[in-house]
Amino acid sequence: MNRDTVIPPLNAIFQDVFDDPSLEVSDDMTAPDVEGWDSLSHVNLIVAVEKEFKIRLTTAEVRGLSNVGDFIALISRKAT
Amino acid sequence: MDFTTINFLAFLIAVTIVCRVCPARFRAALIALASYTYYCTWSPKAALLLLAVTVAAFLAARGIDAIKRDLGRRGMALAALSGLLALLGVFKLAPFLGSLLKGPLLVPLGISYYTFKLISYVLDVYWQKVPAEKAFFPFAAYVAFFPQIVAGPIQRSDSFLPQIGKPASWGNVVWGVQRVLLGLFKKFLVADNLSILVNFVYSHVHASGTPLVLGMYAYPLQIYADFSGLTDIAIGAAWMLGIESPENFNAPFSAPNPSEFWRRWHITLTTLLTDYVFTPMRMAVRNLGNAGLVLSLFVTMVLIGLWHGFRWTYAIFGMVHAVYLAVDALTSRLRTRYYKANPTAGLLTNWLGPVITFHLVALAFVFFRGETVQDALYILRHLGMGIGTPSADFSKLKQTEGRAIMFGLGAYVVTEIADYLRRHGRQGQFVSALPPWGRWAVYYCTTVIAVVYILLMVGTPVNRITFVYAMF
Repeated sequence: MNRDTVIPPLNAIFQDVFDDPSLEVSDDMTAPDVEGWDSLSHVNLIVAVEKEFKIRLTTAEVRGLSNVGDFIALISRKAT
Repeated sequence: MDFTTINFLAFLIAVTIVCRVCPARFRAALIALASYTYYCTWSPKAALLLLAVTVAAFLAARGIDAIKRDLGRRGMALAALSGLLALLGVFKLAPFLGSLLKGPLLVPLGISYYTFKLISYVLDVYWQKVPAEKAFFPFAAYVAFFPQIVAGPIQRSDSFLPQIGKPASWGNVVWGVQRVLLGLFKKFLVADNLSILVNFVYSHVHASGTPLVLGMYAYPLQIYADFSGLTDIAIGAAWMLGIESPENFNAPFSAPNPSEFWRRWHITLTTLLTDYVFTPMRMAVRNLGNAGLVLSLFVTMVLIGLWHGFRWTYAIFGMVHAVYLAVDALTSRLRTRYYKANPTAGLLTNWLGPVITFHLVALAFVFFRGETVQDALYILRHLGMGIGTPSADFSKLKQTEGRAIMFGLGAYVVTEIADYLRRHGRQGQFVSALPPWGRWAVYYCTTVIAVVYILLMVGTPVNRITFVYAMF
């Protein structure tokens, strides 16, 4: 899957998980940029992504992410 | 050598000067040496244990880095972690083992802090977040770093190690001294004065006429002043040696909900357990949905409680907070939506949130401070006791110590203002930003306070009140 097809559904997930319809993901976005993105909601985000893209992420993969750009790249690589 | 003794302050000044004078390349060895000297004044035997554990973890991490096969790496990491956890467990169980061994087992100073530093280091190396440290002296200095050994902050290796080779500047020393003075102020003027009231209440729980509610309200302020004061001294002392430590507190009592409270209270311990327990566990049980969230919160918070010692009171303290956090997390979306739809209620909750959170925290602290679970439950059931009909003992305390207690409360307000200025000024500029008269008033008064207290203590060593968090 390429990043252009990952971004629209990912946007919808972010808007739903963080309950903010105006949220738009960007490569350099990190947790402090998004209200409510904390250690509690982080796993909700991962679960929603796994469900939407039908992939399974490992703890090590998730730990290695430093911003949303990394996340998009990881999803693109794993989703078919 | 307690942080509030003249010996410690003299030791700190001497090490600071030597650190400034020596070339930067000797600094790691110097700080390691100073840290072991400090530790030996407490117990040379325990220092040997610290050294042995440090060497073992150092070699294990090098091993994890060198082994190519995944199975070998995992085995090595597991062995190191089990060793560290077993060590921590044995000494945390010491009160029970002591009675089995028919003799007291001395708990090594700072064991909860240095084992946690090492556990995070081994995991970081295993997860390839950091490479294994190759030089022993910087590593030994990191583990035994004397400003942080007594009660944290628990600094991560990737934040500490890159700083140790850099030369220290006199600017750091000035900021460090200011921070140490703030810590001494919090300890002497707030924590020790409020402890008079708290100790009275908690040692007269079952005597009728003891205003138990005062103990509930005073203890959060006392422990905050005590622990954050100790942390201020630790951060300041580290600054004097040119090491920037992580912050441990950020106005915890202004938190509008329990989740935010834990992002502001004992930050280095909470983030450590979030990274190494909560998140991995939450990921592992993520298919369970909300049940997985609640389970992970319970395990993490009970561990935070038990980290203070294996006692039912600490475990219940953790469980109570787990309940708060679970309710908070599960209703957060509902609440946010409700407040968005009802702006007046939203405005109200901005004011009520911190008040309610403070009360929740204060109620949980009753378990933390209570001698037994029964005592804590008794206090919570009899919060109205003694109001208007104080016992004779309490009236006597009010007569002799009333002013000191009131003074402690006033001084508490001053420390909140000082902390606000510190956080909102540039690093360390909270005093430097004042006009000269204000600056010198602060320096002069705080130094006099410190000198007076220390001199008083020299004469009466029996009345020494040690830091609460130095026993964990």
